[in-house]
Amino acid sequence: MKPKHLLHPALLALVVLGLANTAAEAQQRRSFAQKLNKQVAFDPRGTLVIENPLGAVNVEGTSESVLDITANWVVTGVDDAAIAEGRRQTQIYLGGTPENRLLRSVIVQPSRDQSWSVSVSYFIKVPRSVHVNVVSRSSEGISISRISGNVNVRNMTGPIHLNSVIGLIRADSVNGDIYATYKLPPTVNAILSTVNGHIQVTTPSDASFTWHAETLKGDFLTSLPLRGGFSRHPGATVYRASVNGGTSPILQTVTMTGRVSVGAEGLPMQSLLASTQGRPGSAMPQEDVTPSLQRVSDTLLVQPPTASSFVAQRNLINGNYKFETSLGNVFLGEVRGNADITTRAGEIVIGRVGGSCDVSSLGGPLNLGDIHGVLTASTAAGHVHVRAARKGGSISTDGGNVHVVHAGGPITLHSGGGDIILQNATSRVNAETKSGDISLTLDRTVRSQTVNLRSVDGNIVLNVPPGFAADVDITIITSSDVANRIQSQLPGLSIIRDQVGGRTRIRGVGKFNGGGQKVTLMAEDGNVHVRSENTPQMVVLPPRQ
Amino acid sequence: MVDCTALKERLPDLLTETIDKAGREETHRHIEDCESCQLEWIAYRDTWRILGELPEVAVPARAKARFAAEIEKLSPVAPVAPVVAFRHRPIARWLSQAAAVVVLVGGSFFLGQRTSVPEYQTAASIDGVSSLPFSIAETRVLPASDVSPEIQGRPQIQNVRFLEAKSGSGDVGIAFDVTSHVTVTGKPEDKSLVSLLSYVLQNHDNPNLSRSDTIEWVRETYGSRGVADPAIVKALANVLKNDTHEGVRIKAVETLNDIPPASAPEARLALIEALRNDPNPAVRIKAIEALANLAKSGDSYDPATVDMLREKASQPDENLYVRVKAAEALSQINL
Repeated sequence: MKPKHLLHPALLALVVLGLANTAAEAQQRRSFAQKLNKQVAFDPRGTLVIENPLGAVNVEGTSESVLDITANWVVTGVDDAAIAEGRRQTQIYLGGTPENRLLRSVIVQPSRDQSWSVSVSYFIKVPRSVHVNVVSRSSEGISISRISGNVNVRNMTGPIHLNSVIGLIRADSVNGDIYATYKLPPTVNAILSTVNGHIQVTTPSDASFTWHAETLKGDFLTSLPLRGGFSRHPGATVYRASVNGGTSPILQTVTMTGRVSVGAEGLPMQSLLASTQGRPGSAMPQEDVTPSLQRVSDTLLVQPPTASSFVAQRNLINGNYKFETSLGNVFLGEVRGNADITTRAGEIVIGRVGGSCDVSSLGGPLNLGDIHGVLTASTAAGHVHVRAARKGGSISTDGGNVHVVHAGGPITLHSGGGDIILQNATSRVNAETKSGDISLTLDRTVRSQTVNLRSVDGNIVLNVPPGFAADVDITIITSSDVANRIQSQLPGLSIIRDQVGGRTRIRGVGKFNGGGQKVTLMAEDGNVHVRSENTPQMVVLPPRQ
Repeated sequence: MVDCTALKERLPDLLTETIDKAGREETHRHIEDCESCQLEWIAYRDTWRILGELPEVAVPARAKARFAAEIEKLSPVAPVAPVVAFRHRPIARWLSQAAAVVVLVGGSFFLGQRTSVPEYQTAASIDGVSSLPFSIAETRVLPASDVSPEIQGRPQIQNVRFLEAKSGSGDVGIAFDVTSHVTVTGKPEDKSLVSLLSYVLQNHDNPNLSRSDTIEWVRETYGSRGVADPAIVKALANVLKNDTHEGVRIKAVETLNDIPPASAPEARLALIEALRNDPNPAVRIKAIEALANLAKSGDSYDPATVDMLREKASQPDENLYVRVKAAEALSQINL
């Protein structure tokens, strides 16, 4: 039998051909390199500003009162014309006065067809006491060494190295790592901030200072003796500590998704989240949930989850479960007791809850399957999908759609902006959206029920069984007296039109089938349609597996 | 409430607007409630409209002359007696008349549906009148020579005012509001359609169609095309900036995210503005997704987008999910 894992010969040939082509293309690119050197007078109390969008920047402090610049200028292109174009479009500018020097490399018009690229790397020597400002976009690396003045560095990608900088430091990156190394204990403040990179600060073991650290997804590591903790409010992300009993200077390290480590060289690092009480909230339980996630998604959820990684993931919990996290998605296959889940940012996915279910996200979608107890679900932003709220409850989103397949108890639905769809309700319904449509279908067994629906800039569609009895009050507020209208397949409405505040109010008041519970429908700039049809019996869930 | 049979008898009166106010209101209410009468009414109205749109065929000169001659023959006859003797009309005659009407109306409807406007071999032309493009305007002053003497259908004419003759010219004027239904057809990229759509998006006073539906139509129509007109992008940007409804603004962002990035500057500015100022976090999250897509598909690095995302990622009082989304978007931007 032939082994099945081997590549098909034709496919293999294609791959080889593709690789050969790529190699040939790579060989075809040519380079132009030029080394430039310039020395100018520079006041030791002066300021140097460097703007270099693409390329490395190395600045080193010396005892000379001279600005010594060496620039390696490399242009790569597909042919000579492209290289010539790249050279034409690149300018290096050195200006200013002996007190304030400006060094800029400018790409006048970037290559739109990628036929050429340019990189300028600077090796600069400056008087040690000057202030240095560097702005870069994609740097192969920024390195500042032996500077006693203030240093301000900003880039998009690429690492930032700060070695033996004595002055005030402010380093700000988007995707780059930041490394700061102090040979002597820091004496002035430093602010190190990166969005997606890591931060590593190395100090002498006896350095004393105050450390403010913040990370959303990462961890804090240290090898220094310190005292501190998170602030007390839930979900706090800032860790404050006194290192070696110090109160100043302040070292501030901020990263959104990266890791922060502060310590002495050679000493073992310890995680602050893993030790002591950690961040306010719960531990992060992890199980292999791949099969469970697939099964829950196929059988219990209305929509597949958007998240694929979770800070808490459990297949089955026998009993109650409470979990709180400042950031991250949560997946629970089944909770046999009550569930109480909070995330300050992330998606919550739960297959089945035997008891009551209280889920809250300050931002992120909610995706829930079969909830046997009362459901309380809220999010500040995102869609909410619920297969079954068997005892009803309340569901709210400040922005997004609310979609519930079945509500077996009184339910309140709210959307700050989005549609509300309730496919099958057997009990009282309150629903309101600030902009969107509302569609509600009452179960075929319902003879009379209280319904209160309110929509702005959207339509209301209410589906009721043919024998449904109610006292009905329908209102449309509209800017046109002909466009919006009330339609009802059940007789018994009297339509009244009048003017309120310069707008037309259309009211349909009356009784369906002799009257019953109150049905109040209100639409602003939308239509109201009451349908009465024999809806097929709803099967909320497939048989339990 | 009137029954259906009585109502159907009123439909011709309603159509020709010869019904009294109370009857009209009652009939309209019944139509709103009764599906079969609604269908009947729509059919009546469409038939009437189609009849109005049928081309008028000029009477041949020979037939006209023959008709005039017949009239001529009748005119010198002795005066007709003022009293006409009553003659019972046989039922067959009523039936044949009714059948003729049905055939005429049905046939016209059928022809109207099946046949297109005939293309004449030699196009009719009127010398001396310049052909101006039809423009949708709030007010318009037209010389009588630019207005066809033929009034099609039964347009509603209201607020009629008569203007006195000007000294010298002798021209008089009739000013009025007219309600007419206009269908503009063309390619989605036609300037007139783009302009009209932009106007509809930004001047929403048509409750027949919600703004969300309009935006959805824009998304479906322009999302799959290679280039979206900057006017459409600008209109969406205005909706995103000015609409008070969160759901509408979310749809506007989603549409800006879906349409091609050729008009990126306007879209980018609107999205940055929304990310900075929109009070709803769901709108801000959608704006981040759209900005990240623009940054990925754009051919140049946009510092304003990166700065805004960076600001949001680091803003301590921002919704945490928005911050995380901004950080994720930044990590996906290639330079």
